[in-house]
Amino acid sequence: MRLEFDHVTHTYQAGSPFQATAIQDVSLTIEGGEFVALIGHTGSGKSTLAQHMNALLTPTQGRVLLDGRDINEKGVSKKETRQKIGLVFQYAETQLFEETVAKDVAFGPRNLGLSQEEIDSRVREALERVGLPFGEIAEKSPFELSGGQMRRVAIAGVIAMRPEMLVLDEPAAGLDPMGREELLKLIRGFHESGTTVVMISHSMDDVANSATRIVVMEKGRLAIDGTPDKVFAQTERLLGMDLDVPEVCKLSLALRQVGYDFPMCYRTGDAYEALAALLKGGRDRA
Amino acid sequence: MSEEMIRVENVTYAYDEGGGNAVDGVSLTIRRGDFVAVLGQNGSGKSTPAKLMNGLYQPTSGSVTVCGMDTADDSLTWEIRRRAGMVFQNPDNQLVATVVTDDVAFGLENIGMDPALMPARIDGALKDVGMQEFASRAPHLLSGGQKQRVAIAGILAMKPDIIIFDEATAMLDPAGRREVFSTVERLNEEGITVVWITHFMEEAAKCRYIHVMHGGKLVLSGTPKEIFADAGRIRRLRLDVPPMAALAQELKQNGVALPDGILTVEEMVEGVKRLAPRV
Repeated sequence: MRLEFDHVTHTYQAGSPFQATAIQDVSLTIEGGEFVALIGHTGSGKSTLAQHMNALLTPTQGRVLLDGRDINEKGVSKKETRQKIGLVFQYAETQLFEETVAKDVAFGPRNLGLSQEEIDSRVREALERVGLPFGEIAEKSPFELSGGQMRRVAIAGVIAMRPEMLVLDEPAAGLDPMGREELLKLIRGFHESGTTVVMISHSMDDVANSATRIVVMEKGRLAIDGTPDKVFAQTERLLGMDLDVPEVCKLSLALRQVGYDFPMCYRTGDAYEALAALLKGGRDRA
Repeated sequence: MSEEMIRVENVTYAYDEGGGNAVDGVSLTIRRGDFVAVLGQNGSGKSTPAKLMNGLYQPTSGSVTVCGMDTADDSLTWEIRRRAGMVFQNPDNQLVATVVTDDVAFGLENIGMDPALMPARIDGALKDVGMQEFASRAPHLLSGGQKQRVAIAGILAMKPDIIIFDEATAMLDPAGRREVFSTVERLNEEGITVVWITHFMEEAAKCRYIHVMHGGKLVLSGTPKEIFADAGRIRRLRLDVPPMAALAQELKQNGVALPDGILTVEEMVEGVKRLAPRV
């Protein structure tokens, strides 16, 4: 699959005194199998961009193409687009509404008009894929679960549609450090099993350890687009944009600034290796 | 030792009869000028003590004393809340007015303050959080960090001794988080006692003292260097250590003689300088 933004601009409440352009002239192509992290300040346009990915928002100007077809054209089924591209909102657990977990997860597949047997098997599979034991949880009320479990149920509801691409808006927001790590592991698992992933995140440490590509938005425009090593090589620029970088980037930069020949690391493991090499050598010399 | 501001004594709290205890036998003392973090995984009961500290909840057993006042005494509730203000997680749930100044005035109106005295109080509070330029703006058009600073101003206008922050930066982006945290650091330097409940280890590392809750119990208390000295122990509590602490500990375990207690990039750079001459 291939999702293409062709000069997309989106203006909220166009023509009114409240008119605000959220994204401006954005062109970018996401290929099947990528793990794209979308970063930027609140108000930089990330969420607006994400909501164009499955035709929830329509561009004011420009086009969004899925495998070459304009997804907002008359005659192109939005239902089909949304089945292929699943969107998980921020604090998705607030959208749970059914009496039982199983019914909530079944909501999407039921709307696809699938057979009961197919729905049941998808619900079971989706819950297992988000790490929730079907037998224990399916008949519970979603509101009896912990916040982290509720978020997983919400993700299962999207997974049950078997999307080719998953767009997640801050999936780990508000979770404790281990809950965060578990959820990211889950998302990396979806990616490894072939799902294209687009993840909005404020946590650069999460992004550095997961994404194959980073897209930085600034004031509605695409500011930087590249692999993590290319993007984090511009650490000073990111800091200048008042964005965070992984702590190990800050360390690499600080060591280089005081005169060490230190590589620009963005993953903890790489920083460990580089430090071990530097310090073990240093100790021998001392 | 400085004056005792909050004393939590052997407190147990259960949300429902027959349900488990959200807080289970917790005792702690907070003194004037402290900057104390409370950490814990989701559901560990770390927010409940906060609500016990300003009389929002009453302990099932044990006692909570704020500035010498027992929270169980209903007649003292308003004075307790004036002296121990609270800032919550969601900025959109705590702003009530259509103009920033009116929002800051809300608490003052509730305590029946003479309207003639309000403007000076409000100006001072907005100045303290660096929001005076926004005095006549609509709160809903502000950024998350700005909204939280207005919420803090609303508390400051009441001239509190203590402010309790219940995950006040959880819904903000990193820039908003830094903006709010540095405001709070400054208020602490000016004498406000701070209780900072958080999921962010890098924020806890900047506090002077940390309490860790787990399963409703207070399981660890100490300075950031003490609390983060053992990454394994912290991870078993489903928390983490700041990235530099994790890195330093792993290097030390593998024979690199870095000093103890590294938490920040600056400390790591100093440690490296001591061990490795620059080329």
